Amino acid sequence: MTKIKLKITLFLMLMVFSTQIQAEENILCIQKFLAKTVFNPGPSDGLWGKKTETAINQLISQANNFKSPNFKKSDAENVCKMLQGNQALKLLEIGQFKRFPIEILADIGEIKSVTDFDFSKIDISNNINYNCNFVILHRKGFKRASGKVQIDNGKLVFKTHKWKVGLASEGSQRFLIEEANLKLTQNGLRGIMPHLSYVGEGEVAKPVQYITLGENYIKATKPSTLEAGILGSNNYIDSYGTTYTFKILACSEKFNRTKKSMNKKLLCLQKSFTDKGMGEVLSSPGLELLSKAFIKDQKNLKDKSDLIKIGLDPNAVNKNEKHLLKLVNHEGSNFLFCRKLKG
Amino acid sequence: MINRRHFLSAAAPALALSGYPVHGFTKGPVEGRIVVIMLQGGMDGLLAVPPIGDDDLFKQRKALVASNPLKLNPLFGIHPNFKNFSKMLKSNEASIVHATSFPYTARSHFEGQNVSQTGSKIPFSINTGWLGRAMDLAKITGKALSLDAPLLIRGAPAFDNFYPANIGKTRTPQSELLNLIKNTHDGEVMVAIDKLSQASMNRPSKLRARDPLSLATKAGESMRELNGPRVAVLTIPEFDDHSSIGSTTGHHPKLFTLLDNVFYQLRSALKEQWDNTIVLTTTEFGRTVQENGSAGTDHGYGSVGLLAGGLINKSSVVSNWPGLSNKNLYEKRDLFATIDYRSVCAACIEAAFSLDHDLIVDKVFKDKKIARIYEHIFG
Repeated sequence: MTKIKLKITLFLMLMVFSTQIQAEENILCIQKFLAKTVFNPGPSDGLWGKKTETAINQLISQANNFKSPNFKKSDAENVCKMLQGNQALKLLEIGQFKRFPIEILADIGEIKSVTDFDFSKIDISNNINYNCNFVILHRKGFKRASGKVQIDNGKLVFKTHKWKVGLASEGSQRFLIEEANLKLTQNGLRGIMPHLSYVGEGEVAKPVQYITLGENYIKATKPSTLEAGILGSNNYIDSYGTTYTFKILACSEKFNRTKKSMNKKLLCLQKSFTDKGMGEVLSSPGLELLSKAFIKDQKNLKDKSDLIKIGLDPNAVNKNEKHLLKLVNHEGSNFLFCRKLKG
Repeated sequence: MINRRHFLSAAAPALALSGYPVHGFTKGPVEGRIVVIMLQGGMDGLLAVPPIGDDDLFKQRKALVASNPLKLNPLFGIHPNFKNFSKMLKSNEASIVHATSFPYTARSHFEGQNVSQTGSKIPFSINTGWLGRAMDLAKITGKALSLDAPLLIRGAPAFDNFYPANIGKTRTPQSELLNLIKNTHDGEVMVAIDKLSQASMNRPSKLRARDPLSLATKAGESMRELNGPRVAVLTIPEFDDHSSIGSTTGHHPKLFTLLDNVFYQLRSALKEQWDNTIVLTTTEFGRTVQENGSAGTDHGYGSVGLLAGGLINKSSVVSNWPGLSNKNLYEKRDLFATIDYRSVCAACIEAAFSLDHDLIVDKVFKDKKIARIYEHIFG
């Protein structure tokens, strides 16, 4: 009985001893691996200390884009297997340089366009649609910029712009076209727009400025049939103290005219459909889409796929592609269009 | 005879675009784009990205730390003038590599700029640039549309600049040459070159004043085109602040604002192509850790690299931080560079041009010992 007890005790002691040796080997395996990286595990002694724990967790966290694994001593066997497995080379490579995560706590906001503007408390004239010219005048009366602008539901969409910049690189055709964020109100223009500076001989180039419009609006003195707020002058001062005037002029109701004209063609088309018992050609929103596409693409709609692309109902398009293309591209007079349909 | 100061004062903001697809040379689509912003004169990395968690910073630099740096993590902050770049860091579109340099320690602008563009350990030992060689390797070698293409993008002679470097003092593109170029293209590229040709004829002799923001916008706009260039090199000079370098405000901080806005302009002009782009700064060397008697800093060694672009997945500061105590400084005066910046360049090439690291270090940098840092920046 005593012999059996002794044997069991010896066996248990051996078990504990070999487990301990195994544990130490696992820790040593981790430490030796870490020693080849910039993550310092302390001395390679097979003992799980704070340095070893921190180093292995930092390495694995870095490899997993800072998702902390929180390995403990009890994980040593699995970690060692990992360091000897397929990922070993990659982990060794990652271990050559330290990465520090970005943990910005301050409220710095997000990247916004430099022309972001809060229109929420401003009454926008959002039913106004025109095609106009614009001009930006220096206080002495000479032209600094000019071009074409479309007023689309109160928003200014610049089509062309040409600046007089002297020796400066024109830099970009896009500034007003892509960046301007201006809207029409009863009291003139509001929003932010880029402004390019003139650079004379021997002058240092000046970066683009971003101007907030909304102050110093001068109402047009000439009587006009157009909505108030369009034909006025918007004054602004650039960062060098020079006063400029932004004017919208020579507006036409092309958009509305186009829509009216299209509507006439559509009425003829609809009548011809009704006479033949073919149902509705196009709904009212469809006509709106067509007129907008006409203004935007200037007769660039070539086939039925283009018509579907602008959002028209494919069934309506399939039914009468030829006539719809004539309609959208505003081809031929309304008279001839309607007469042919009758014939 | 031109001396260093004349050379530096003559330097001006510049832009070179390269990597236009050329029929017969370009094989397959390469989506990635690289923009290199060369910060000439030696940017002070400790002022740009101060290691605010290192107590020695405040012992070494009494006046040259911005009063309100934005804290990035317990060790690093960033100068408050990097407003847009900080937001890019927060939205995982930017990263920083600190205590880094090209392998050059002799503190000469001429040599340092040469090394930063050739990627060679020995100044003036080769006459092509690391980016040009990478373009050769990626078979996207196009032609630069600038005069005097920067050394950085010069590759093999057959694929060099459209403008031979030996056209002395030429400042405007020659129409005959542009016509020749135009005839090798069709479609949008031909139209673009035609426009350039017309513009050159309209203004035959004017020198153009350029500012880095307009150039950045132009670069971004060109690079977002389907057939646009894959590579742009922008130069921002005037970092050589031996006196009155500034801290919260001043000359260097003013340049930080400019650089920050260049990053912003590139991002907004590239639009959806930002996702395929990596922008990286290079500088010939860092500056001394301690300020000199004129409230400036002198030529040093280690500096910082700023990277931004949609190719980055997770923002971080990559650094084997060497410390700023006297014993940790290079020659007891400079921030020790613990990362070879060519590793960063190689990682950017790998990300944008989809080339293998081993191939890049062998063929582009001719130094197989350059470590791979791709996972740290783009992983």
